[in-house]
Amino acid sequence: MNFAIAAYAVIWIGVFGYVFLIGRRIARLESEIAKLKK
Amino acid sequence: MSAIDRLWERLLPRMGLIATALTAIAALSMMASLYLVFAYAPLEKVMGWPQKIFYFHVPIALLCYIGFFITFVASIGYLWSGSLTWDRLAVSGAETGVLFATLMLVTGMLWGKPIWGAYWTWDPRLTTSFILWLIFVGYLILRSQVEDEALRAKYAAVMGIVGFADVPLVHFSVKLWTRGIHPVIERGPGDPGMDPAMFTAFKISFITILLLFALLFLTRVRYEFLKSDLDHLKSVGD
Repeated sequence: MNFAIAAYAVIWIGVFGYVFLIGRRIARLESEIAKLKK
Repeated sequence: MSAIDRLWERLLPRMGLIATALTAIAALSMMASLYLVFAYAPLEKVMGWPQKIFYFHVPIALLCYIGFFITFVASIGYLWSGSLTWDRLAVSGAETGVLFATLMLVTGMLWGKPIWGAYWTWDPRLTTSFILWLIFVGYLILRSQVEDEALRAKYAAVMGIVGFADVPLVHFSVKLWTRGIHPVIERGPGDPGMDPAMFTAFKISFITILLLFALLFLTRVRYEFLKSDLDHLKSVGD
């Protein structure tokens, strides 16, 4: 059971970690674009 | 402007809405699949709990192939047309594919330890999968090392096309090298090769992973377009 739980934890950490990283990169780009447009 | 450029120009303003809808549906699907995997599908008699990893490990492996297939098609598209939209799709497919390949390898190792007694063996399927992961990590490293946009897209397109050749090798490795120990599901016409309840859990898990893949891929494409907008604004400012 421990291995199954560990595998599911790895999947969700991987997916949500990537979503978080890419979201942060997008937010940074959007704020830079808004600044330049001003 | 090519057809692919026009398509993305129409899609991009709606990306926020598409991402929200995909997130909501993926969240519901995720809850359903977790219920089906842990409460509905029966416990496999020989492997026990570690078999539950299969429901997500296999869809993740299939979608990693799809990510690299997108890179393959988009790389051909770039070399054919020279449109950077194809290059943006190629890098997005590769990065999402690498993420899924990493998850495939790690979840496979977590299945291997209780079943085989080792996290890793140099089985043909595992070895070719690891080579695939290395190729596309190399693809991303290559992209980060070339400054010129057009040159980077050209080098990466060649590597994306050549690298994809490993995907059929991974998939058919269990048949090409029969000495391997990686399990294969024996299916027949009308027979999914597993208990119907297990097959239902597998199908819903596949849909969940597919939705997550679509969400991550589209978000990554959006990032590429924003980066290009920023570069354009900077060049106008200069």
